[in-house]
Amino acid sequence: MRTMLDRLPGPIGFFFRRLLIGVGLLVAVAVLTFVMIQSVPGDPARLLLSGDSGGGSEEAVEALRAELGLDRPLAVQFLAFLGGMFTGDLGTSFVHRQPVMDLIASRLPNTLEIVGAAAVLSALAGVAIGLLSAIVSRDRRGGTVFSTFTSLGLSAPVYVTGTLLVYFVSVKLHLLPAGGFASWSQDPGRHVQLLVLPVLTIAIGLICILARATRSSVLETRGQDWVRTAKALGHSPVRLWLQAVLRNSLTPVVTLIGLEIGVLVGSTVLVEQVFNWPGLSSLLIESVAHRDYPVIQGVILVTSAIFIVINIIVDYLYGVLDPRARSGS
Amino acid sequence: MKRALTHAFGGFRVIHWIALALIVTVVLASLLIEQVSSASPVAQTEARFLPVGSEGHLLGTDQYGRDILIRLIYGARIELFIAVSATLGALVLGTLLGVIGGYFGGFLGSLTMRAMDVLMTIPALMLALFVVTLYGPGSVTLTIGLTLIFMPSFARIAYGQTLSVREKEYVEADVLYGAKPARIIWRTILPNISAPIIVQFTLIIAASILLESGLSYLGLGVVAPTPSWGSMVAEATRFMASNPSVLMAPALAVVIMILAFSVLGDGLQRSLDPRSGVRNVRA
Repeated sequence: MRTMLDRLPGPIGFFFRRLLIGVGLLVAVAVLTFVMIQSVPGDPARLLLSGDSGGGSEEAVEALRAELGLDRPLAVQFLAFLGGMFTGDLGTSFVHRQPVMDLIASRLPNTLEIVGAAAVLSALAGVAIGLLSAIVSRDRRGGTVFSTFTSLGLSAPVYVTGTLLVYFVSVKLHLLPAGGFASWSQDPGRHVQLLVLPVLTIAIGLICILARATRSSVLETRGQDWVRTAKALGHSPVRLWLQAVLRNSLTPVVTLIGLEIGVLVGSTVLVEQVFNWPGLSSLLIESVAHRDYPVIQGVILVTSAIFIVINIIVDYLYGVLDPRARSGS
Repeated sequence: MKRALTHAFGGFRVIHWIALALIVTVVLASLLIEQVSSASPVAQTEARFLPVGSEGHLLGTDQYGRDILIRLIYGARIELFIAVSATLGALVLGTLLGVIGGYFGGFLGSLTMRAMDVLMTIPALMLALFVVTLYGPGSVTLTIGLTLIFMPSFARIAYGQTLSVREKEYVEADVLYGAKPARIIWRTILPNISAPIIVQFTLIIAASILLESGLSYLGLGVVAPTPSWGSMVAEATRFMASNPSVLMAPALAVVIMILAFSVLGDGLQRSLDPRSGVRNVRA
């Protein structure tokens, strides 16, 4: 299997190899969450019933166990769970008695909207700021000013940045609404208005990270001999910086974007809480409070799958930016 | 000992000393607060929303008339306790796994590192929420969760470092002298890979505070009424139009504390590990 895939040439072979690793990782995540749930003392069915109305009778507990499939042997439960996972069935919520997939599907698009917008904004702004700062000042003083500002942006938790933005932009200056949601189909104008602050909140931290990486990478690249040669050959500054230096500096930045996706999803959950944005956040908080394992487990699997897919794309881009990397892996 | 200290602080600039002084002050304040003041961080009084600079209440009081500075200091105690113990746990477990995996290599090594990959695939906040769901909120759960989340980053560093150190002649000499693996790891490998791990320790404390305060902000971290910076920010948002200082105090405290630990990490890196690039750790 392995050797056959190794022999597949070019992007297709690359894609299948990475996909195989990705599926392996996802199965491992499923095993891990399953084992962790089993490690908790107590019976979920009993726990669930004792939550509602002063404890359930033995019959009620047994009935619920049968309904949730908890009376089957562990191996059967696990295989059913794994099989379900690949057919889009992530189990049933203890609290809502609805398929976990439906609950997640109703919230996830709103979360991904913020994640996507923030990622695009940060990538553009972060690379631009990093490149400009490296062109304008490469001395130590410039570096100190730059790293002071970016450190500040890195150290502010998103819920603090978000709350401060609400205070200054909404409460003090009345520029934008403090939070809430309007669907795109009903009121696109308001939808965008409400999207600005949450996206900005997440982007500030990510811009700082990416600008830092871009700056140090550009400073490293511009010292190379071939940059001097290109300059000596009379290439225009725009062509020199954008085509030669920037392109050769982007590899670490792209890697960083892939690594930050997991952080981004987590930050978004916090930011949704700040701005009352109806994404995964409220579902998660509710599920943690009611110990609704299947929902949390489902969210973990879905967000991990997103992380894996984004990183396959990032690895592919890596090869596009630097063809040497492709033949290596 | 003295040489080790000059080594660790040799690359410090003014800013790194300021960060260190700030951290030491906060740690001392949170440990000694009971000796200095008998004010309770949770008992409610009639003196509500006193402004900053009031007599006896340097940072004012909140909506229940509780002194904000006192609450910040008690919050720092639990915050730092959880962050430091979780990061220590992650350091010990992660370094152990990484060094053993790197030293023995082969199947054991790749198995360890693949297991770390699995942990790193799950977004940190989701993993933390999962642990809290399973074991209920509270400081013990938080510590376990954060240990699990940050263990892989220590394991990766220890693994990579061990791989390069074990090729060195002095390790080969140990082997030829007939030293047992446990002794080689303890006496030769660990001292030689400690610099990046110490730097990482400081940076991961910052990341732990970031994540822990975020969970407390969601109401899923430290259990009320124990004060925590995250929940103080969350509670204060309701009054931010009329009493912004109640919000600003904990918000700035979190930012300054995280900043202090990352600046300290930067200083340690300059002293101990000057060749490696700038590292960013976020949760």
